[in-house]
Amino acid sequence: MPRILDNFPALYAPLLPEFFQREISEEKRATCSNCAMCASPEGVPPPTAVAFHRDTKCCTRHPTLPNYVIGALLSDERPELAEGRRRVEALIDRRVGVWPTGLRSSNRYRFLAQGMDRKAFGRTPSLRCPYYNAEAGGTCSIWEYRPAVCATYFCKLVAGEQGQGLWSGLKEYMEDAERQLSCYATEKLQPTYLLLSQGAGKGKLTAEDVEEQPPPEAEYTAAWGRWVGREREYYKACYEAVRALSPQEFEGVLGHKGTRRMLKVRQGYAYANYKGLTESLRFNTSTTARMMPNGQVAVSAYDEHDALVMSPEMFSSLTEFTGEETLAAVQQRLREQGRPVPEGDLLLELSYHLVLMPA
Amino acid sequence: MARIVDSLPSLYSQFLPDIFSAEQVNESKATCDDCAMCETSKHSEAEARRHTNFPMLFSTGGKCCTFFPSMPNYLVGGLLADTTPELAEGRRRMLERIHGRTGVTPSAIGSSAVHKLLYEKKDPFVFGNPDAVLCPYYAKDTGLCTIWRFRGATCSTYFCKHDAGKDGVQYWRALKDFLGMIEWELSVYALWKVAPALARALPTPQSAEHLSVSSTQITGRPPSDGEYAALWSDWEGREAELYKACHAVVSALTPEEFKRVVGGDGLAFTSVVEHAYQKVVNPPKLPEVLTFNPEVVVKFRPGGEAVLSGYSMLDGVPMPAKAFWVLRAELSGLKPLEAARPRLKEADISDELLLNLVRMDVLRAA
Repeated sequence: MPRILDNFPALYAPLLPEFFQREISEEKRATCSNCAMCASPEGVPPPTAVAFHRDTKCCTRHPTLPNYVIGALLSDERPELAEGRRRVEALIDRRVGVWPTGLRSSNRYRFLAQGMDRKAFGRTPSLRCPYYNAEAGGTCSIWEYRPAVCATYFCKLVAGEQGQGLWSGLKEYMEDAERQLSCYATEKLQPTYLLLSQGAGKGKLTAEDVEEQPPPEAEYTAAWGRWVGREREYYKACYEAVRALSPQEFEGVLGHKGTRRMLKVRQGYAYANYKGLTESLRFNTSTTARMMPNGQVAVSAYDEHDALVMSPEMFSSLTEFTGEETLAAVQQRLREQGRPVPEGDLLLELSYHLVLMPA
Repeated sequence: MARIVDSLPSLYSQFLPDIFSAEQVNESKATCDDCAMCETSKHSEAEARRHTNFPMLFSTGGKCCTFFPSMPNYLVGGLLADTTPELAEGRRRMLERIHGRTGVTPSAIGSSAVHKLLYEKKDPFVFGNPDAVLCPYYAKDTGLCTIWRFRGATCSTYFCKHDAGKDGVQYWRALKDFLGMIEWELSVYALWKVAPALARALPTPQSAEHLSVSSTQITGRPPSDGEYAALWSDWEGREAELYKACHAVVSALTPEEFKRVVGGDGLAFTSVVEHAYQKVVNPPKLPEVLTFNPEVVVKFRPGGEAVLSGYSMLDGVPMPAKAFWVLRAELSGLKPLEAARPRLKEADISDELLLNLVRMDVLRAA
């Protein structure tokens, strides 16, 4: 079983708390290499309300890469990362969204992404991630260095709703680490940028933003100071600054917020691994059921992207759980009536997915 | 020498970083006692308008206090624990707010959700209009703040005009960001120490943009008994006690503990304050070639005077209209300042005035 820290770039291994050594379930239901949210090559849709676009999968987001992560990637000379390095360097040369704290999307992109309906996620090729390698079968060209927003996203979770708290806790912890570490490195190497970037990105789009052009030369030069033209060198220096941190120093950078976020991770971990059921269960009336072309029913409750597929008869059995009888009593009654009985792993899954809830 | 920290609540003096012991930045034009943006008994409306291009003057009934500040738990506690008579009115008002329950949370006391939303959408010129919104801690009879020594980040760092112009705005904004960050971090830390269960249940603060208003909140009524009990748990009815305990926790912090609480954010925000401070105390040199900021607002006033605003409409530099036209003609970015000097001198335009206009962002390097 993988450890929690295996989900994140290796550069964090010496820094993260001991807790990250714990084992974590592999999210086997989120099958990235054969996207569970896309229609099959034969055109069979997934059992969800919407399907992701085959040319994007869930990668319709341009993630921010922190300065030290870029430096780590550029310092990694392994051939399998050549394409990732090439893409990052091309973005640096373009100077759009290239800042001392890291590589961001263009402001125009951010404007579009922020205004996008949630249901458009995974369906917009024009917002495809710049690191997505369509030529290599839809893989991530910077996978080993992907940021927290990507490393913690799964369309479906083994522990369903119970797993959400863990992944959202990890996302918050790691995103805060990314932000604080990139500021830490910037403060060491190009501190005046922190002053210049006050309130950045909160205003309206400039002409350059709308046209996705680099900022005016003077603005870019002021931001980069003595590092103009040496951005790669700067990012590598950021990596060295972060790499030199001890675990204690890393904890210090995260401050008390790190302690609070870590508590959420611990609580999420405990909840994700809890396998108990209450004595009495009730059917969640907010559950959505969709009839599929093959006659099966796709049932979802906690997240529309995560559906359980079952027979209509089994679904009908679930509605018998009103919370007025014990679980065992409902199961016994269903057996006597000759109807399908949810039990074992299915019962646990239904609970994970909030289709059946504590009465 | 007054230090930066001397203008802030006194508990900060024991743990804030060294930069806060530097000499305070003086804002001589923002005269709160005799509001520069109002017509007062000491100066006329015409005199106030000589120094601003803002469409309307502030009202003496509220001055700039047309904002509802959010007070972190430990500053509320500090105010309530204070026994000095001059803060008696402030304490009374704060206790009244606690009794009213609206906006009263374990981390802070602020405005209602509906107010936050309306304020976010306000027209910029609502600012300074007390009929629209008046700070609940503002004493109309005296024109003073009743909680002055415990005022929060926004109020401690707001000035309508800045001696250092654009650099001044940047400095005070840096200070505001720093104080805003520590207000949140320290209030959560204090709550964590005093009432961990309440700290764990704290919702993430939402900007007005992402705020959703509950069915109770939209009515403008205080939270229901159930909602309030869920928020305060076994501290309900002992809110003042909790706030005072939070104040005690923060008051006892050492510089090292403070650093540990605020972490990397503290380092980054302090660095920003330091750099912004250096820009304020080290005035720029006059550029060799000057031109006008294309966004400058110029208004001509009776008596042949022009008022120029660059970095802010609130702040205006008055000068004879004739001198303005000389400036306009000579400083178009096409010739060095040296070549323009003879005509500027004839119009009584000194280097000191030019430098001030650069700081006000009326003039820029070409």
